[in-house]
Amino acid sequence: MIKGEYLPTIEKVITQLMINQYAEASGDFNPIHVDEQYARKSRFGSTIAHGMMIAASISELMTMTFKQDWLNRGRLKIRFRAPVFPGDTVTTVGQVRNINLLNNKKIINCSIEVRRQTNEVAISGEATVTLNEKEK
Amino acid sequence: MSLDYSELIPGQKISVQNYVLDYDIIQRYVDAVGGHHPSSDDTGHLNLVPPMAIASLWLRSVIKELEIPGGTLHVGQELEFTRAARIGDRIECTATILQNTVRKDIRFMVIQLKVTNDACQPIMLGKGTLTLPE
Repeated sequence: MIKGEYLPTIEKVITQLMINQYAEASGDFNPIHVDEQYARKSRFGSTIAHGMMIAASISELMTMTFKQDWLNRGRLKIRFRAPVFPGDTVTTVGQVRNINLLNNKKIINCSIEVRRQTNEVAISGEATVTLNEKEK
Repeated sequence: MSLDYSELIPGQKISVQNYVLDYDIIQRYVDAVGGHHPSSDDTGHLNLVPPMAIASLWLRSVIKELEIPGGTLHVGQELEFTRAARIGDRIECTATILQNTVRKDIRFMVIQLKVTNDACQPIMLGKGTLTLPE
């Protein structure tokens, strides 16, 4: 892995069914997510997906790339910048920004974004992982 | 009876919830996010739980205890994973108020997250920022 390298991309179509299932799984039944009538009158004009539901793709991407290192030594810092609506296609992208060595271990810092099909950034942030392998 | 959010003070523990990470809970989460169940993952992560599933359980306890009103938005999240969790593990999720302020009719609440396993070892730390309508 080198600085500037792109991580694999994850693309998902978000549906109201997924949002409803996430509400069940997370216990978050905020009407802005699950009540179409309520949401229509809100500033969003529609239901929106839970931020953490969309953010799950970031962790999925980091797990795909860094495997157990991410699960054991991963750090994530994100901001939810724009809503994701049912029917949106979201794409999760990451790029290696820095690779540092600390106590002979590689620390990889990546910029992360989740974008809507309009290219609007729904989530941005950074993900950092410390690799278990020792630098030779 | 609804909560008076202005009475919540930094350092105040608002929730301690215990969960068993059983297969069904995790499968429901994985179905919802359109991901892969760790036990069917071909990367060798047999029976490992997606860390964001644990974060969603933590959030579940926060939502329940704070009686989060409609119009609340989750605007930021920081997470640090310190130990992988496995299907069947028992975890304890703790939420503590870190910051509770009002600016321009919006309440900003920063809540600390701590998740430990059966051996009281931390598996996840972090903080989430919510905005609530005043």
